[in-house]
Amino acid sequence: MSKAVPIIGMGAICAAGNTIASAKKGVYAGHDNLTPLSLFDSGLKIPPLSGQVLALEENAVGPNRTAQLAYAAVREALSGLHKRKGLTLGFVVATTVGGITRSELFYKAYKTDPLKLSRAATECAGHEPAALSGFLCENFDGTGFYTLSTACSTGLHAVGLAKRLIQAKAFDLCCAVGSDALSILTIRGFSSLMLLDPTGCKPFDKNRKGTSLGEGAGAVCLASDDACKLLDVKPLAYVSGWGASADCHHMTAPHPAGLGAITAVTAALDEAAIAPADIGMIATHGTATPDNDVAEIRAMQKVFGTVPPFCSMKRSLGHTLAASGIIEAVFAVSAMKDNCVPHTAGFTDLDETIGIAPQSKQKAGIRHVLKNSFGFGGNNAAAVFSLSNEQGL
Amino acid sequence: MNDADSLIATLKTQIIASLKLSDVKPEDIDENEPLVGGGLGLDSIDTLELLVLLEKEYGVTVPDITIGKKVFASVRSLATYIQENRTKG
Amino acid sequence: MKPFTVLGHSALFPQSDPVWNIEIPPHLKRRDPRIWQMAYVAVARLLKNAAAKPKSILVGTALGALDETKGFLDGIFSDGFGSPKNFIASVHNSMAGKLALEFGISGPNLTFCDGQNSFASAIANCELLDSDDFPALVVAVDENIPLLDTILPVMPAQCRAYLSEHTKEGAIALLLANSQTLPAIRSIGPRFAGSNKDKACTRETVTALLKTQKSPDRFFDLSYCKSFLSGAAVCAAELQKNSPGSSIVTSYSPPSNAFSAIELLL
Repeated sequence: MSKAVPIIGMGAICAAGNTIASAKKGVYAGHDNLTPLSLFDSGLKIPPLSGQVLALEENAVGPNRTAQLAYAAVREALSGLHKRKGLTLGFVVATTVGGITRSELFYKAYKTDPLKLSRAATECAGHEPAALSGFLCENFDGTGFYTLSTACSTGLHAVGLAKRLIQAKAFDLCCAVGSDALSILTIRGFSSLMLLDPTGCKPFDKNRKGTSLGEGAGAVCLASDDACKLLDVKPLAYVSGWGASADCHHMTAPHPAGLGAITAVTAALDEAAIAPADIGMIATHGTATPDNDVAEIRAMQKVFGTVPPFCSMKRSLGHTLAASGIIEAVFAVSAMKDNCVPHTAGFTDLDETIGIAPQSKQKAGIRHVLKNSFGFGGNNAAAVFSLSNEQGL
Repeated sequence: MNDADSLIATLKTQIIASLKLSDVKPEDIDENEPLVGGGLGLDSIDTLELLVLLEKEYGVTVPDITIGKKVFASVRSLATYIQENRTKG
Repeated sequence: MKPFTVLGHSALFPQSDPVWNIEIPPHLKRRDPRIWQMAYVAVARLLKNAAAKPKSILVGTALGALDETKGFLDGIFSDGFGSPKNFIASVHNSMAGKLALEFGISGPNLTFCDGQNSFASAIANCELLDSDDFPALVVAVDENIPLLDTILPVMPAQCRAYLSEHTKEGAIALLLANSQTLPAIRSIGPRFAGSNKDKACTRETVTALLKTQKSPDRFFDLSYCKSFLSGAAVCAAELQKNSPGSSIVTSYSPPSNAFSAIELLL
């Protein structure tokens, strides 16, 4: 069996659009899709620029916003798989906030009026991350799931685990789904850590001062070789490698030399059985916090020597936390298929400390892309996506 | 005691309470020593906690992390920044 | 799913262990959330006499550092200030991150939030690790806070049973090797019970099947009961007793309508 696992469906909903088709050109061109936070009152004096899904359909399906976003992405990812009845479908679900968009508002109301307690059953029903997985299984005839929460790296870990679940023959099809809605908790939390740039993030830029949050969901459906034949589908691309590590350095700051990131990326390249030079593009984590961007590039220089063309999608999408790894992987795979490296919105001035700049590219001839995601707790994830399942091209 | 000295004394008490430094007495803190990475065993997460203290007690905000690093260099630099920017307290 | 050898195990239940906090090292006393301290103490007990150091961490937690999430929102919704340290701890993987930092475990670091099935999910995913990620440290940890007791009476009957007055808090830690000698542990599931679309996959049918197919020496049906940790707690007790034979411990998570089971071979 080939070590690379076929991707047979993808879906995304984010600030750039409600489907991959409607969003991808804007992402490639580096459109700035951040808008002043208007979904709710975060309590901050100046509503921070955020990646909001402003056109979420009115009758969206799901008990809370995180679930509604996930539903839209999964529906898109599974839409072409008409003959999947009878095949087992697993989910690896990535979320940090789960249903907190509702439970935090309930809690606010309850604090001022304890009589509101009677609403707890409905308002907190979806609070647990696992509730999101149950909801997706219910609506898409799933047979089993794992729910993962490792902060900002969750989505990419979900892709890695889904790959290995297919290899372990646990499911015929396995959908990695990442979803996070904007919430008071995360907006105020990032603000309290001074990690938000209220004027919008500027990845890798000399004047970067923090990230911008966003919301959305991404889904990648993987399949066994047998399932591909039964479904009569041609793989869109392949997940060929995954790497995971912990920094053991600090709870929120990355290791300055990116030691954990180096381990994760190296492991992903090893599993993909390719050399660093085979990577044609890096879709970075690129959050635009002063520390992350420099640590990430230090790590990439260590692994690659000469760093391949790289981009950050954070100004186009906002940082969608647990969803970011999958949404950005979806656009990275699309870009590889469309033969381009996306433009990095928000970047204008080279930072001498970093020494290199993100660059867009047309007719890029990319065979393999690397996606990075790093999270709180010093948690690192990296994955390699490939155009074909022939290794070492 | 001049204004600066009395502010420094108050700050020391507030820092001890805010960061739950139960074994530390105000006189144990040297206002000229680095707050982070010094003898108090504080790190960057503690300075974030102190940001909340600054805003609550003095109405002082720190615009970004680069300025924050200068402000939290020592108790004295913290007091100077408060005196220059305070809106209450 | 294949069985993993249990190289060591430990547990901490504060309710029945009132002096556990003397085991918290000074540098974790001032600022660290109680749930981090519980996880730390359980793992410290496990690793004190362990022959090998873990290479990876898999944590199962249903609600994570709930008290920190509440504490942060309390700040925001009262005087408008949330404590940064509360927010840092509020992410579900904060315990796993802290354990990696304290014990220097730099391999894969994963946190599963599958309600009562969280421990089973963590064990199941050991199978997806590389052989050099072993020994693997598997931890189940959850905390109880008064707000859960307040909300309980208004929750649906199923959830009331699930978060009943027996709600336990604590931490259970296992050190697992990628081999198959006794004692061993494996996860079965989790499976989505569905809305009876698939009759072969309801909780009752699978429970019956487990009993007949596996015919374990001891069967613990925790389908409806008790705390997030009950499955892990029963496993810890069984390992402690170490009486030869096999045990099956089931669990069920109402919000996700999924069940799982853990098989112990002693």
